[in-house]
Amino acid sequence: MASSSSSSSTQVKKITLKAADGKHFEVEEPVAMEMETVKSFFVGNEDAMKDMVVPLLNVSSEHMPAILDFYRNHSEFRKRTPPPPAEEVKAFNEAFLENKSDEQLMEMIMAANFLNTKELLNFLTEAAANRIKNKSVEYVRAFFGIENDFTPEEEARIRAENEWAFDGLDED
Amino acid sequence: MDVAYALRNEDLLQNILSRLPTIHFASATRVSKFCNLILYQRKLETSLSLSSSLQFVVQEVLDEILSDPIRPHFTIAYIGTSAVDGMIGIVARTGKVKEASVLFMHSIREASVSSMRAAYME
Repeated sequence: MASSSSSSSTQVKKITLKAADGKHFEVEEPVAMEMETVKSFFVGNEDAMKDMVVPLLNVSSEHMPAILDFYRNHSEFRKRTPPPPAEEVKAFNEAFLENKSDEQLMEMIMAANFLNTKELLNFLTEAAANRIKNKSVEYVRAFFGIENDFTPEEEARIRAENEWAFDGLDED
Repeated sequence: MDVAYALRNEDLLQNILSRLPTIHFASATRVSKFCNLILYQRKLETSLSLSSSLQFVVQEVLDEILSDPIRPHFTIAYIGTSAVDGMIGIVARTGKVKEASVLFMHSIREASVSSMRAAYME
């Protein structure tokens, strides 16, 4: 976890973030600045950094360690020369998603959206899309917790319009 | 239900669904009215292949067009050896003018076509 790039002897500044459930996380400044929401908090107010606690209203403390870990690793990947082999990034990403339920994935997507980090948001929404690829309509509804609001007639009409797309779906 | 509401509110559902290739997306239209609405947004897609094999050209162009969610109402195809001037249209979804300089095959949606006609007429 220790980054070899921080060779300077000055102590890395820390920023305190407060998750939705009140738990505090002390985060190195560059990692915290990966989040646009945190960054914008300090714009024009850099002096406040030391003692301000940034409230993250939509992020539960359950997901904070994983999210911070993602930022740390990916910012290290970006900085490294030569760039890390694709397999290394892929291995990290796969490990990140392992054992995450669909519900946890959705919660993290909402967290990434709130934190306004494109890289994490893109990664997670892509992962969600991969989980519903080839799945039946019923599966996708359950995945998102969406209720069917079509009348049977409407549904039949849409099905007829898109008949060509319904072959070859996986069984749930 | 809570999650679905939040996803929908923040455009996140659209973000996820729009990553599905067309074939999968088309099936997602049946999930709910909102999902169907996302697909109804018009857009203009163009693709170009320079291969000399006709079969390969068609496959390559179709694969590219269908890699994003689109409901192709019809396609305009140009296959030939001489260059065409191209085509300029307004992408109805974004309102931006888009130019496809050389077209071999063109997959397009109705509204895009009517706005292209309008653009030509003006």
